[in-house]
Amino acid sequence: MDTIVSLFLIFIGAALINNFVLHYFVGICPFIGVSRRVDLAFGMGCAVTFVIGIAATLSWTLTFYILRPEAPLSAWLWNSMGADPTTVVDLSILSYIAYIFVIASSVQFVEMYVKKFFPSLHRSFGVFLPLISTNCAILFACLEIMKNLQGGDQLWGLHHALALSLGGGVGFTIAIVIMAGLREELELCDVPKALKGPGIALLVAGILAMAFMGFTGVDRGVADAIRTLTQH
Amino acid sequence: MASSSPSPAERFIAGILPENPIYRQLLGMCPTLAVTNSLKPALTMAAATAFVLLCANISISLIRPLLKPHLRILIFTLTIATFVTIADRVLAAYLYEMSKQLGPYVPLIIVNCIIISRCEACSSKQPLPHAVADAVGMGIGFALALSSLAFVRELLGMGSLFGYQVLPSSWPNWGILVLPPGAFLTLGVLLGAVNAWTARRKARVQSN
Amino acid sequence: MSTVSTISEPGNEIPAPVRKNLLVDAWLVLFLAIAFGAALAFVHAKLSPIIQANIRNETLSLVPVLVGSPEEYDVKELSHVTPSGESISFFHVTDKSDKGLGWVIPASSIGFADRIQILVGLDESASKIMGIRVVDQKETPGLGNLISDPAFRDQFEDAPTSEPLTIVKTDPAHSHQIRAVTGATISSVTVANAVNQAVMDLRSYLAADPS
Repeated sequence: MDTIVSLFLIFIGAALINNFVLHYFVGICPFIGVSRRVDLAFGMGCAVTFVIGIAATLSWTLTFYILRPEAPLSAWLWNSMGADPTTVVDLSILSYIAYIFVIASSVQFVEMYVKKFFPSLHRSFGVFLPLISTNCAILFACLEIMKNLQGGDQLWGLHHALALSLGGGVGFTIAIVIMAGLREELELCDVPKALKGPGIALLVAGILAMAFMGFTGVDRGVADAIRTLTQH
Repeated sequence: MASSSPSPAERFIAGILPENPIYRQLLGMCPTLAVTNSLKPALTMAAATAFVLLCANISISLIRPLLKPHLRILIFTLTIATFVTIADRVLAAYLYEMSKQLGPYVPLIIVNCIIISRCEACSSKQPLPHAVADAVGMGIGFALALSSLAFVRELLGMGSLFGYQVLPSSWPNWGILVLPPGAFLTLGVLLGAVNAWTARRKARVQSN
Repeated sequence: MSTVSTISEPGNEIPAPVRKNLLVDAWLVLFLAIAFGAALAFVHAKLSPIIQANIRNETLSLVPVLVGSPEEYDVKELSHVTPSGESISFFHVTDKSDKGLGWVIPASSIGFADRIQILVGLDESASKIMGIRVVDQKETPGLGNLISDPAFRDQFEDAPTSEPLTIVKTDPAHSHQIRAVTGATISSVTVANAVNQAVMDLRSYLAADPS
């Protein structure tokens, strides 16, 4: 029960309360660049969610078993080579390089999948699909997972990592679809010339971020409510 | 804009305002919005990015003749990731408090579009002096953009600059500017201001 | 990395110049990987001890401050499992003649925005709080943020531990009452709860280990 509650809280936290785009400022480039049409924005959001899920799984596995200090596989390799068993094997300096390659491979894999099963979607995406590998949101999710695999207590399992990254992807999709809807309306408005395009998009994003700030504290309230309910 | 192969001086000047990475090219906005709620982290981030940009440009320019088209993105990424790791470790060792404040945004320099686009557009095609001038120009432009944003946010949002109280305590701190929405709003307004000023200058030049 | 096959069969033979280019590319990537790997290993070896020292000093530099800033002292790190099953590690400060000067216990609780982490300093007999410091918080700037300010945290100095501390919005009438930060009641209550938890944790340790 406790695990399910904490998974739910991590998911809601990443999707709404600490929305990746509007609170952590990751994934801004596609948020400003791709959000002109709702259908394209929704497709981009789904692609990013898909890639984040795959990248989080791979990077969690890599970090847990190989990269973090005292990781099982690297310690086993070190000992089986006959070296000093008391030294702590710490490969975390290679983390960032490992993550960026994991992300590039995930994007490549998703691109092949989309090309084979949704060729029209692949055509309409064009160059934006490979550009997902420079989307800060995916690397940010990997870094958050790494942060929670460092301390001795409460290491995150694969389920926590997936809850965070899928929550982040869903939050990104929500934000980019809302923004696309707003910008479709803005096309018909009389925007001052200096603010046309990214300028007005940023101002609208600011108001959207203010709205999302209203979600602060929701996770605490929900957790308290669940705790009160399960005590009866 | 420039001749087919810009000289080092042209590259340097271009990076500061005409092709400013934030205000004109709209690249690398993630750290721009995240660390600019005060001036100290903004300048530290600009310094770290400039360091990575310079080292990456120099390295890529040196191995320029050996680059093959289908593997170049791989090599760019490997180079940038290595230098970002070095910058991150150096910050954690010698500026620990600032490293904690900047948090995950230093490793996010790896996916900062500015660096990959400079590697692709300049250092993989031009020799060392051009690459260095380009990196320094873009670094200065990035630092100017970040400081302009942080100046407004810290001054009006907290009444201080670099942590020193500048405005009198009767100033009601515009708290919203220090929070996430303030980042978007300030950048939008400043972007509009820069666009308006550039358009007016262009009109004045054309009418002469 | 490269999938160059050295077996030439009539059907899938790679033309000689392209095969040579693929080998050259693979060599470049491998060479760069080894060169960068060596550079990173060097950086790790030189900087990792400094970073570890930074992380430890972050907490250790606050420990003497929280027990009255003695001139000479020794710090012992201890760990204990509380009745609720949580494992905590805390500090016992003694002077050079091994006389106890106080305890420093970390505690944390979920505040308005995210987790708030504090350090609580208690005197040797755990009868009085000597001070608190907020180590990590992400509360609202200008509101919940102010729990780190001396105006709020100085109220915890010399507070008794005979009863749990409570937060009030008006002037405190009782030494167990702490005045909340205006407009940030939840953050203030979280800090008080964390302090009470720290006192309980220390009490459970002292009860289990009379020495």
